[in-house]
Amino acid sequence: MISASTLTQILINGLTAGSFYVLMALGFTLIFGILRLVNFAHGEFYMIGAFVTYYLISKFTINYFLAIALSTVVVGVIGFAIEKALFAPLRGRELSMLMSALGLQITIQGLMAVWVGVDSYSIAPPFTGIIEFDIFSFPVERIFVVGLTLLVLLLFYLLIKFTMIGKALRAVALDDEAAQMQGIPVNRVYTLAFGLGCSLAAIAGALIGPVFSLHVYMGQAALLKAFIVVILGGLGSIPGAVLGGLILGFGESAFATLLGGLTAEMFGFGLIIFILLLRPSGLLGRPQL
Amino acid sequence: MTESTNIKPLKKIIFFGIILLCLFSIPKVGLSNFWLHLLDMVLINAILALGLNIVLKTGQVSLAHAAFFAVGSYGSAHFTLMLGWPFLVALLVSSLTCGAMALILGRLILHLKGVYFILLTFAVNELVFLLAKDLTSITGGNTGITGIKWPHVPFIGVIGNKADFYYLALVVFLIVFFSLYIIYRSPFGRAMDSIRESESLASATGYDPMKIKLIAFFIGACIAGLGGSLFAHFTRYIAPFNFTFWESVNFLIMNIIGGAFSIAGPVIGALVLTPLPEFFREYVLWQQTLYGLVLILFMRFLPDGVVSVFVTFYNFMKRTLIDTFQKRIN
Repeated sequence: MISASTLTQILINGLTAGSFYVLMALGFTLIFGILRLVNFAHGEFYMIGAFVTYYLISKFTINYFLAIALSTVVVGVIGFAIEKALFAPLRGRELSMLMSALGLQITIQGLMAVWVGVDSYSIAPPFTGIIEFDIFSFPVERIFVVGLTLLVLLLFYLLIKFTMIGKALRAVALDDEAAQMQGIPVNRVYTLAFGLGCSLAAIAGALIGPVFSLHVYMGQAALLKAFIVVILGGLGSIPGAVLGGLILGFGESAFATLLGGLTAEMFGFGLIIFILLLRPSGLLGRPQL
Repeated sequence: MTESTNIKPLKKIIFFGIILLCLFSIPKVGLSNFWLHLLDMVLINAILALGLNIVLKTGQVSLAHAAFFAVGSYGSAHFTLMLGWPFLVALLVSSLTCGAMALILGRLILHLKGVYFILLTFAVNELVFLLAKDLTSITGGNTGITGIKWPHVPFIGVIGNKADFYYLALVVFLIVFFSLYIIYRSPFGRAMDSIRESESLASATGYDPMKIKLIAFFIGACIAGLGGSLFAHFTRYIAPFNFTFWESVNFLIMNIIGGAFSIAGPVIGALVLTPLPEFFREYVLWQQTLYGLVLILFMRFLPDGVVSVFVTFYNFMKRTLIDTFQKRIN
């Protein structure tokens, strides 16, 4: 029988993992939805986010929250610059953009390996302690991760739904030519969307630091999770990314606790094979193009 | 292109004949083991890159090529070590195992287009990699499989050094190369081209895109299986790190740098890229960065690969030569 503590563990791990997955997939799906670009370098922006946070905290002894905010901005700016330099000239050539993203992934990973080495680092946890609630106990650190993710999601929702920028993003995602005819500066929207997506990945990276260790190859696994989540939820669908992230997070957590790590890793693959057979466009995606 | 069609085949045969002669005499020059090792690896990589080329030819970019490579390697290692099969049987069966895997997988994922297909093949590659790492009882986990034997070929005996292996790899390479050469020029080759250009147009003309893509995927996987089997018996030690996602990317880069829409492209790509790590030993850390930058620069400035430069150069030379010739006559 599943005990209450096991259940709490599944719940907490699922929510924490789910939060990471949602943050990763959100940026990934945003970039795909708007630029039609499969951002293979997404995991690297997440890695950069984690390392910027690490350096800000350890070298400059900046407060953890400020470090998260700063690294989000830094990675966003890097994303901006890269989009302008690398993807803007390739606009419309989907395959070339994808291959360039692959090249970018390799380059960033290589550069970071030269720069910081291949050792593991860890960020000192900003929170310790456990909140006891009846028979359940929750580590504060994880509650913070989930809370911040919720906050980011809320802000993101408000941005997309109620601002001019959000309107422009939605318009370009629907039809970039029509958007251009309405006077929306489409090129700027592309760059903005890419920067925004990278920032979201950076937040995920900054959040994961205290929970797990960081190393230059961490982006690979995260990218794979983002893939699974967006295929599950539907490529380009933002609600799909949230739903997919939570399903994967809880599913993996349950399998890992009850059946062991290997089954948990296979769970994601099983899920996408299943979804492709039944509904190739993903749970909340539009039918295939 | 229409002039003197009856001389062309003869010219071609002589051309290929000379190349073959050169290829077969290379080990006789007395190369060191280092160079022979490189040459063998070039051939193995060229075989694998050719296998990916036929998949690319139908317009599907697969990142699962290393998965087939892995299945071929592990399969062949198993068949010879555990079941005691002769090398050639293991070579063929592991190749067909890859083919069978491609048929099953292809049915599931080949109806996906563009990025969806790429994402899925990426996931498949990761899945196979995880299996290679975690199914310790079959694959030996992270330590891999050691003690794979040198291949034994009937009538020839054990191929026990790098020079002899060169011939084995060369024969397989030539078989693969010329099979593809013939396939690309057959009606089936044209069907693949038409599907790459426009799937809806191709199906309107009466082709069955799914069937053609599936056959191409099958052939590609079989070739990858051959390459994998050769690789296992050449290095005689395989481990999961040989079959990462990067390996798939590597085969893709070989195709792109050489030129994916020409059969010489992947071969040139393998020839250029295989020795790179050896020559940049001192800059191992920078190697990855270099790879990435090369890929980015190629996509930006030379998306059709090195071969396209040769073709342009050749056409340019031909034109200028004819021009000067004509001027002189006038």
